[in-house]
Amino acid sequence: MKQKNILIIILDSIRADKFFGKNKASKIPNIEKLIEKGVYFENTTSPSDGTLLGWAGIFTGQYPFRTGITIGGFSKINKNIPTIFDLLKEEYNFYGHLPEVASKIGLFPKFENKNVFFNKYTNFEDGLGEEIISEFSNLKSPWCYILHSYDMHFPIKLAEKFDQEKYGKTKYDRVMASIDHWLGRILDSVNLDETLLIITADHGTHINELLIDDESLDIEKDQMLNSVAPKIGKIIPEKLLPLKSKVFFALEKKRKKQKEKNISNLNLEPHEVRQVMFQRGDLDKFLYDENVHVPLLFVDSELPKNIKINKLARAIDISPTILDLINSDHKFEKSDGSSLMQEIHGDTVDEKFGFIENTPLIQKKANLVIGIRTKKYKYFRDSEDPSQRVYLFDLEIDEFEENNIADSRPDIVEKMEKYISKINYKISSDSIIPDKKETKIIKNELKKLGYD
Amino acid sequence: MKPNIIFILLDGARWDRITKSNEFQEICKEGTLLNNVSTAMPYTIGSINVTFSGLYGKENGIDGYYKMLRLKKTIKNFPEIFQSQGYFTGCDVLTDKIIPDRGFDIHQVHDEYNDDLFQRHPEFIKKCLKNAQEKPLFLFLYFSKIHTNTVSEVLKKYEWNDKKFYENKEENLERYDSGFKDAGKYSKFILNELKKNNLKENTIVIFFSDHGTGIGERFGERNYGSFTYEETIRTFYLFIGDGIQKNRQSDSLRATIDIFPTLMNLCNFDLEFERPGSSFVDYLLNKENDLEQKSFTFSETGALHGPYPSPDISNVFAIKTPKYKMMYSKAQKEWQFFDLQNDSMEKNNIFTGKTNIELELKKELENWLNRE
Repeated sequence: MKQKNILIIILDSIRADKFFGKNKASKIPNIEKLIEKGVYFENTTSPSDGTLLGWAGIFTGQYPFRTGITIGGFSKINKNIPTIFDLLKEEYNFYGHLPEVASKIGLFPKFENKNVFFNKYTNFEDGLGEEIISEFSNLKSPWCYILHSYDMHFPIKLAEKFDQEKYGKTKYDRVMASIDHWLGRILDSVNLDETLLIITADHGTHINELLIDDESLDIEKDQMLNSVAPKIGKIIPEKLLPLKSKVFFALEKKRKKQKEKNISNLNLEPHEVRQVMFQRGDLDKFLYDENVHVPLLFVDSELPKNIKINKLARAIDISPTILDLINSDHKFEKSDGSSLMQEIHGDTVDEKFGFIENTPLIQKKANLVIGIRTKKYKYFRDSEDPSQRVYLFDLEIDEFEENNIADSRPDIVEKMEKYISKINYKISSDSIIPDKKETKIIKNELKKLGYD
Repeated sequence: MKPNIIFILLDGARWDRITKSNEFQEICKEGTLLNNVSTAMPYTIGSINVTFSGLYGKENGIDGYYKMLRLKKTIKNFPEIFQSQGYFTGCDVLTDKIIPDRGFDIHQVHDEYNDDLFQRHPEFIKKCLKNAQEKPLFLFLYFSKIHTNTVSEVLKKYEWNDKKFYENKEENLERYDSGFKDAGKYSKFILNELKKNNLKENTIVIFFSDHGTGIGERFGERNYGSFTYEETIRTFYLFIGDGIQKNRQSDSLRATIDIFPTLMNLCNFDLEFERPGSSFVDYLLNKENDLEQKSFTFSETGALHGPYPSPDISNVFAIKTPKYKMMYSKAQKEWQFFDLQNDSMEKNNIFTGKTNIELELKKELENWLNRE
């Protein structure tokens, strides 16, 4: 039997609510057609709000914290963690286009094509789209193609021809339309009868732009600081990194103040304030759904058509599902993720939970959170202290995560903590033998009780 | 309307000495007494934290004297839960490490040698009522006199291996009873004080013991915490309040892990905690005539002193049924088996390791010890 080709498309920063569903405002006809042809998971969570940790989860089937990949180009995958590429390397030829940082983390395979890794400001419109299309006629089957689109990655660069109202009211929607256009063109050059197609995102994003009375309002539009802050890295040489970091955070602070002023007269909902006030340099991190709720679509000739599944799926389930869908003899020996075939076939499955964690900042120690996403609940709290910055939302009645119920539902908080402990996220301080200081306190206490 | 919940600990009170206090017997008529409740750990810090979290030591983090500061932050205990449900929470305890201040609006400590609890606790109740501003109360009062007597008259006078202590059981018992009588007087007094402060209606008061106290029954147990015999692991809980059946007593076997789900039911909290215990609320509210017995209960300890000290982690374990008890000493690698119906003082170890009941209990205890 002929091996299927595999095309995995990762759309950087694409949120689930902008890809499918009642809040989608963008013009994306090609994506809509693909959803009709495939199986779409409405409730998919990425393991993190950053690209590298997102990739680690997708391609290893394990939670990123187990893989060795943490941030930037500073960490590489542990050699003993197998990727889906390791499992498929005897049978498949690998091709792809990914941002440059992908070349530094040891996660990806040896690619057959040239110029795989592109500069982070490269979009489909910059020639990448045409290059991809031209490649598809020369791929050696069976192939596995990994395409990571950076079009929606900050800072967003919108091609002039898509900067029109007919493509959407907001910049985000217009970029979505542009991505959709290119997806249509690229997929026209692929034989989908012989290909398993997966479209997902590495993580979501905040959208600084608001729709007020059906008009787009960019809180930072025309402000110098918006464009200057991210460019600091280019201006200042590597050896002056500490200075660069200082300048960056000073500018971020100033931006925040300006934004606060700009929205002070607007009657915004809490989730809208959260969206517009978010900045990459914020030290208090969160894991709202705009960061981690991602689209997940499987299109395959053997799969049912136009199926929407609202059970929880996780990015860590993608690779185990691919192995099932291509009838591979290979399986992950250890995996946090599991194949989604049961969900696809409508079988009863135990409730799944997905562990989520912030991607750390490179320049500064941030206040990170970790948490759990189930179909019904979102939970996150300080990554080091479970009693700090505790948030719990009932997503079924509070889709925008505005009503923190952590205080009134200690039972659910405890259940979520049980899930965290189940996956052995680092070693809990609870299990460490008391140190000298603690022993001294204990002995003193016992003495007070008369037990000396 | 949410009921006020008031826990009153009579530290070290033995279930079998209740009859020595007229006052305590009097207040027993006002409620339902469960007098065969196995504590999971026969020492205060371990015991209280099991009762208040509904979890055994391994799961709540405090499975040894030296783990007293280790109540896991990821689990919720009574004060946190009651506070989350709109209660005002307060405690007056022996030391600030008995139970962490998590969830307490007032977490105060008394001086067992100098404070007069007959004066201090009524003041504490008034203070809580004032600060609560109409919120329901969750209070935890700690009567420490039996403990203080044990420290002054036993621990300070005898080493754990001083034969004189074990040879004077009658004298020890007399001294112990004197302390228990004080506990009885305090109980009656504080119940009246609560009533005076309008804490009679819509209030549930729970007098309870965290563990018993040895009076020299067996060598090595100078007070409690060394072994898991009845004099230290069998405790009582007296429930008094609205809807609670009066003048009733049960010898049915229950465990301190059952208090947590029972309180969740008594207060009608719409919360779904996963806990190993089972509620006996229907019995308390007289919806059931008999208190259902547990098939077995588990207890464990690791002594500070004595022949086999193990303050880091438990090394003595017991499984108790309504009829039997089996114990295992890790230090001695020794099993013991007692027929509680015919040998209530556990003097005759009849362990053979061969009878069906022994094999069954051994397996159950091993399963419990090896639980994930």
